[in-house]
Amino acid sequence: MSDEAFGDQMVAQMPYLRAFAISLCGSHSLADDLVQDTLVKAWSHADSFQPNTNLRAWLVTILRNTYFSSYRKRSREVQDSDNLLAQQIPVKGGQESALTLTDVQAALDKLAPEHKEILLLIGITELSYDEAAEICGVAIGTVKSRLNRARAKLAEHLGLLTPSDIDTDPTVSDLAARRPSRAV
Amino acid sequence: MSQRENPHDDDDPSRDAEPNLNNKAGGREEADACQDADGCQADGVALDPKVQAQLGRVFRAYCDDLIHQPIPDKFTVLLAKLEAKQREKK
Repeated sequence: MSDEAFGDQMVAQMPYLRAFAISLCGSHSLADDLVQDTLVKAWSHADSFQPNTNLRAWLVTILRNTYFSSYRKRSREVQDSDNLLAQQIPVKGGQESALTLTDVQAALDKLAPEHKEILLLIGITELSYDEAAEICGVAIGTVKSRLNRARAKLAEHLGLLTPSDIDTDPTVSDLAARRPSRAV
Repeated sequence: MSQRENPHDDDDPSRDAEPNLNNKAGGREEADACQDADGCQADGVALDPKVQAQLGRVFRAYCDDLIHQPIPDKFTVLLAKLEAKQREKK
């Protein structure tokens, strides 16, 4: 691949890289440093990128490893999540309409690192389960079970679980009547 | 010795091929990190479908907000510099 083509493709990946970095770091300034480091590393190792493989997965791998080796500790000290998101805009629809995107960030930050990471890899960078498994160095089954646990925890932190999901509460019987019976 | 059977084959490739979570399809709510039904009960962490749908919408909105944030000019400048430097090396 020519340098020009490589450069153009890097530009195209920027929104995903930066979104992943912001969510990981919980800070714009730290995220921008992380993205910058990632781009420099990517260019200095451009020869190791195999054409016809997924550039985004390659870049995300560099960013993720850089984050865990040098940014994670700092990100716990420098959370400035106040301006990260369009927080005034409530999330659309239904009972959860009171939730803001800032609430989602806060809930994600409460997750175990491997749970937060897997949600972001699949949700933000939109990589496949296979690619996520490779990046995290785990089996695909582990990716799936982490996703499931991560979702359940995120729902809990966001207060989306009705009392019946935590213990049994007859006040939500109308919900229970409408939904199909759950396989146990 | 009888052949081993594996009724719970977790490596069924058809399962892995499915939710690529490429949520480009807009209104499709199933394909999402917080929303595919695949294996949700596989390890005893079952989410109510309604909760899962809510979670999917909330999480998708969060991801979309981040992905659509404008990229600061400094990155375009940096990428151009890195590209020029690479060309010099050759």
